[in-house]
Amino acid sequence: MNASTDQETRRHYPLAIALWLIVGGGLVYGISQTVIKATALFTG
Amino acid sequence: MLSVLDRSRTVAPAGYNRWLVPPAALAVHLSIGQVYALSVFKDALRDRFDASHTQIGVIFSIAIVMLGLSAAFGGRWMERNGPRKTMVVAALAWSSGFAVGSLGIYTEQLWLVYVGYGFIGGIGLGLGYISPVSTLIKWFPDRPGLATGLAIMGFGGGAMLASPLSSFLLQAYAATPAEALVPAWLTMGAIYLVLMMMGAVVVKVPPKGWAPEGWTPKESKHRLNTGGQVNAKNAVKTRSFWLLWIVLFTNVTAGIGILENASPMIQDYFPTITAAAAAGFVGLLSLANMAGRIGWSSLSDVIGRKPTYIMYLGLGAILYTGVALYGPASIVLFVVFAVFILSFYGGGFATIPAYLKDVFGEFEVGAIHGRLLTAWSAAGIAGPLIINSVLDYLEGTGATGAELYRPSLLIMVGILVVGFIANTLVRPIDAKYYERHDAVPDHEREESAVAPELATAGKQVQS
Repeated sequence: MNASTDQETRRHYPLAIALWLIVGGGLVYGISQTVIKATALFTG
Repeated sequence: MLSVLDRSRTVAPAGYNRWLVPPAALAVHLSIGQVYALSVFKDALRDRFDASHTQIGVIFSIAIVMLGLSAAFGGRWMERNGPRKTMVVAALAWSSGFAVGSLGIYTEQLWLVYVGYGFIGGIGLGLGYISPVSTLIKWFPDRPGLATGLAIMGFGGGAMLASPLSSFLLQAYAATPAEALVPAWLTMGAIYLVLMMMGAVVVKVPPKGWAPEGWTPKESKHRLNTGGQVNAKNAVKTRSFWLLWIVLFTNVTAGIGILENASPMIQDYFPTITAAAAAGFVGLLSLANMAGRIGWSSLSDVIGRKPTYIMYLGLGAILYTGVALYGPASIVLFVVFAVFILSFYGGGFATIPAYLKDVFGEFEVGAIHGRLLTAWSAAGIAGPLIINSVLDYLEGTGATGAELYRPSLLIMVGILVVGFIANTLVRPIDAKYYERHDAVPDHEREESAVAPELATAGKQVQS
């Protein structure tokens, strides 16, 4: 059980890091788009 | 084969890095957060079905009601079956919601969109919303506010991501948005299925008794939990549960008061504001809503949950009074007040799971949170109803500008005061509701039977 769990965990490390990058990138993209939209309050 | 989804198969081994778990929660919440960007499709849906605003608005209402109901009724199932199985079911329901909704759009059957996106998708919303909460609380017992803030921040971020993505897809797929709806919804359903499934693969629960290295629970005379653990069935029998229900209900109702009418409100307060600037104001409020989720919720780990809600509700009431009485005097003042109000609205959502953990323990905190979310559904109906009915009445009397909003804002002040009082009345739970000292949830009993060696992994907390 432990051995297979360890193997499974090692397999999931890169996926978890990739997921951090995907969700982090998504959040940064969404926030930057909203910031651009929000600036219209001061320029529009 | 499906056993890979079982809770026992998601238990992390010793030494697992807990910071690998939050992206799973964020992946799910970023996906289901799309529901707040549904309005991007509103005009295209109206064109496609030749339907009224109300008929299209019903899609969102059904989804939010189903969110509350599925979170309430699916909470204990989630606790028993673990976050991975719950995330998979949520992913299937959420993406199927888009698929069935697309079929409804293709065949021009609006009822099928209600069933698809509203009913089936709404089940995915509720289960997805609660799926990572108790897991994160167990991984971050030292900073539960930060942990739940991280996940629930994703829900706010989901709309920010979905909004430009939806606009892009509507333009890319066909000459008119109405024609692009079906491929756009199918694409979004597929993207969310993959993202949520990745979250389900990555999510892990800590072994029983795990705690961060070197951390011991703090002793404080102000602690709301005296060490007892309360199950979901007993939690709803306590006065504190219903007081917290009122706290969430009032905080959400008041926040919706601003959110629902942000664009027309700023234009009525300040007639020189253009439509583009008003849209910018809405964007600013979205940022405040999201920042409040992570910021104020993290602060609650330092100052405590009850003082944090005293701030949300007490300072919130003062700010609402400021908008009602002094808002028209200065646009800067108006915007600053509104930004803080919306940050408290977001913070209220993100801090409540940690508050529940303080009061009821982490025993079945996910299921208790699910039941408390019915307050959200109720507020989703009450907030717009109060604001819009007062607006309709005042418009009939010929009122204009800030006068249109003053009475409903002052009603919101009263609602916040009710929530403030409810928060101050929250007390530790009577010991008669506690689980027996040696009681363990069903899922943990199963884990111990399947993998007893894992129960000794990590540091053990003596309770």
